[in-house]
Amino acid sequence: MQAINQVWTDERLEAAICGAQADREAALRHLFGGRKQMDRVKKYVVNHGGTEADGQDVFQDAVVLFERNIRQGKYNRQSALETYFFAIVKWHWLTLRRRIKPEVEFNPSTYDEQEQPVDVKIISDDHREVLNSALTLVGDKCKKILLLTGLSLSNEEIAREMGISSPEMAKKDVFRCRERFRELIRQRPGLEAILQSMLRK
Amino acid sequence: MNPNLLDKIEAYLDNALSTEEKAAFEQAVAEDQALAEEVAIFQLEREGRELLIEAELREKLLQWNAAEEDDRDLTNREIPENSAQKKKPANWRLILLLSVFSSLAVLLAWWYWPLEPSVNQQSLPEPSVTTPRNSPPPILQQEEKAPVVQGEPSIKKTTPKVTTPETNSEQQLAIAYYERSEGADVLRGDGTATPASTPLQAAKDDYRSKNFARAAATLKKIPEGDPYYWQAQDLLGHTLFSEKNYAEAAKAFRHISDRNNNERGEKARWYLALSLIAGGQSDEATALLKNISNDAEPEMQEWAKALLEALGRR
Repeated sequence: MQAINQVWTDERLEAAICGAQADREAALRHLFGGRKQMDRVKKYVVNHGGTEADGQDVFQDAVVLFERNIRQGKYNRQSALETYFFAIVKWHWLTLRRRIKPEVEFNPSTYDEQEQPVDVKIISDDHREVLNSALTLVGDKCKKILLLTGLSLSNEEIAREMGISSPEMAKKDVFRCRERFRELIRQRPGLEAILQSMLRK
Repeated sequence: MNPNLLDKIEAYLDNALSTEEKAAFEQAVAEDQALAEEVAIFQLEREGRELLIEAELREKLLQWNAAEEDDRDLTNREIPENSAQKKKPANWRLILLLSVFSSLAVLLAWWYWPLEPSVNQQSLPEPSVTTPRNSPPPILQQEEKAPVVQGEPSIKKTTPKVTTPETNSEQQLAIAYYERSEGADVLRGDGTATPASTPLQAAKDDYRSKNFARAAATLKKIPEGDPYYWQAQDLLGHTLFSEKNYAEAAKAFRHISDRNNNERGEKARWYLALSLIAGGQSDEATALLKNISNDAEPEMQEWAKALLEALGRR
């Protein structure tokens, strides 16, 4: 775990976000625990046609996208982490505005787009609906296990986090939970349309 | 499903296939509707896991935000602002305030710390066990249960029982550490539910209702080879400790420790040390604690170090 007085460099922040749960949380809290980034995002959104509430939503979405992109290795280190976060904010707000007001032609220069486009793809509402209904049936223990596997924790780390007696037992639990979750997804009404849409792409 | 195919789908979604493998896999997907659907289900499973991560993160953001608001409120109430202070970040003022309070608390704790019990003392020691003077390991601080052990009845104030102070004190220390490190852990097992009809479950029920003798009798009958054998041995050790049968508890924990080279064995080693101290075998316990403080997982190392230090002061 990072020491409390750790000097956070971008490199360390990136490593911590991809690391153990406690480190990940410490790094994210360091970045987003205060009001600085949120106030900055709100100001940006308000200055670009949104409300304070939009700014609040954009901030939360951007943190989620930022964390996911870092964890999935989509951050190319060509800009500072803070700059990268703000690029996500800008592109996400632009995407949202296009969706809310498709009739308005947005001029990218309005948005001061210096950065390359970043991945701001969020999980679609129809997918969310099906997945959330499957997740409510999967059980608390499996939910936690799925979350930890999503964070790429090893079986050993999962065993430790969950109080499971051994990594081997954890491996079995992971396998069972993932299978159960996929089976629940298969049983969801509405899945057919989603599959068709996914297979068309 | 064929495990190789599962691995292949995972590798494809991880973008870990070579260009040729990827092209071949995509060709197979294009020609096989069932395979294409399976890949889509795996993709959805991943999205589901991302949703869980997202939900947890959003919750954390709200918590951090609320904590930040609380900090601001506290700071605004506690410290009158003047124009110079307004320019300082709120957190610094809070840290300063907390530092002052912490320092005072440490000084007071030091000043009022109970002295070691002595047969020559006119007044009896407090009936509770003191914690180590140095900071206990972090996990200890998180426990809700206070490290209080039932002390001598008040009537003994006039006729103090003369015991070897070291032994009595060390036993109480071991019990205090035990109570703090055990908690709900005893009944947790390996995180899986115990079927209601098993002897282990019956023993757990007896343990909960403090019928230790019956719990121990049941647990001793569970044979090696039973799927719940090691859980039963864990509980047997704790049952015997709770019964104050420290020698037998040490035997049970030693058996677990010797035969389990894993987390269970590691924990058993710690409880073996506590049982040995409580049973008056401090020399062996000290050697064991030194081992734990060198080669156990970091958290347990801290525990062992703190206990060694506390023993050293006695």
